[in-house]
Amino acid sequence: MKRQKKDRILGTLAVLTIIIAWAIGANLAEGDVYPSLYEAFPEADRFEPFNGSGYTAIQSQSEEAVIGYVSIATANGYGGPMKVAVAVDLDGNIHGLSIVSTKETASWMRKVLATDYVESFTGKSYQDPFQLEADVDGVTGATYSSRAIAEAAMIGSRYVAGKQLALPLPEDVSPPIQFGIPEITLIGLFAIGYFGHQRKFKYKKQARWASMLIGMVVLGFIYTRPLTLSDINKLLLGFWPTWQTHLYWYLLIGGVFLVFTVDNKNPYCDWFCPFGATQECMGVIGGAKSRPIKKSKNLLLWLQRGLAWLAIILALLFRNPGLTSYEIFGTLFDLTGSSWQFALLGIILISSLFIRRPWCNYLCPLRPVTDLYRTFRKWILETWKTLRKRKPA
Amino acid sequence: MENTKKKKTSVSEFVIVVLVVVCAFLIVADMTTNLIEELDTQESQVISKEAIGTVRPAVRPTYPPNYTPPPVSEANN
Repeated sequence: MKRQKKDRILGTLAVLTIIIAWAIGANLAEGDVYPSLYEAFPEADRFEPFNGSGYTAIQSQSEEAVIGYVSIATANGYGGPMKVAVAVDLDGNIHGLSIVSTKETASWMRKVLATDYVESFTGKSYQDPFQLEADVDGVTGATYSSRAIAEAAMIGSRYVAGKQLALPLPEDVSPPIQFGIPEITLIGLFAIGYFGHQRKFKYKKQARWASMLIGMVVLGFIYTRPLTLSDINKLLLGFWPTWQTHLYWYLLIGGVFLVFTVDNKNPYCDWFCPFGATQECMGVIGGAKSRPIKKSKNLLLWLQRGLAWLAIILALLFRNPGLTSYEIFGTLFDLTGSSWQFALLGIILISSLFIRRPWCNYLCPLRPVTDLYRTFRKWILETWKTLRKRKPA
Repeated sequence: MENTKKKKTSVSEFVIVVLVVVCAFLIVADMTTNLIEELDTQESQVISKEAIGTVRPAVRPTYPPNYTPPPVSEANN
């Protein structure tokens, strides 16, 4: 009872600080766009703003002349909205692109910027479809970021073509719905979890292992799409992507929270988290056990919660969902990450040979999030029941 | 027998605490690196703007002969 009270007080404080961080982050000024304007249109000597999100590129030699326009277009990447400066010449063709701001994971953006992907848009017409695998070759391993740049290029060039050049715009076609193997697998895993959680189901253990292995191979090693703190931050920041191109995100977040709310069960962590499954596989090899923690139980619990709280607060302050997301899922499944993350991955993988799921039990930031959700769910239900009892018949 | 079991439990608990603290240190170090990188990016944008010196007195530009200005209602949107 005492612990429950403590959890509720600290949980409320955590939520309040998260709201404050969100409000502060929302009011912080955005970075300046001028350096990006010059990068996108280096021949311009100065820019004059038009219509709020566009700039006229002016060359001043013997006399001043308009040489084109730059529009600041926004499209959703994996980590949130990406702002791109799209320079367009007077015929409606793209002259150059420059990334103004991005919320993508740094390692993925580096992957994109290491190629000539951004430069490949030079010369494209505003009338082109700007679709990956159609007229644009995306960067392997950074599909969402590639798609966001292509979408921003399309929006920016068409904005200039329509508003400033009065050119006829092609019919607006909504993006095709991305429904493939990851989405089908995810629905299948939720279904396995649903049947596996039934009391009368005989093959619970086998179903759980099948679910974990599918999750590890398909959602982990093949597609690298585990649930991360970055997804929760995106939800909190309101960076909700286009559903047609990010159906997987909606299925994952929506499915997990729906099952939690209705059934108070965690359909993800124990059943198909790819990193959890990897640790369990390591545990089978090394004979890992659940090690009881007595004296330091609270220290470890609040350390885990404190780290998750800090990561969420900083992400909201900087309005960058992936900035402090410290999971090492991408480090294992995609071999991308900092040297700190590789060191962390090494320790966790070796530890999981002897300790059952060390990452999940002591470090994963998603556990505090689910704990908080559970605490409030229980609190709301109890309050609701008390209120109903008090009501006169 | 029971004493040996207790000792084993406390040793394993100690090892777990040390491992978690080391991992927490690595996590904080990674977060700090990312934050410094983010702050550097924000700062470099401000510096480059100052270096470029974008603000100049406005002069009415000369438009090319084939340029069609947008209708007034659209331009005001």
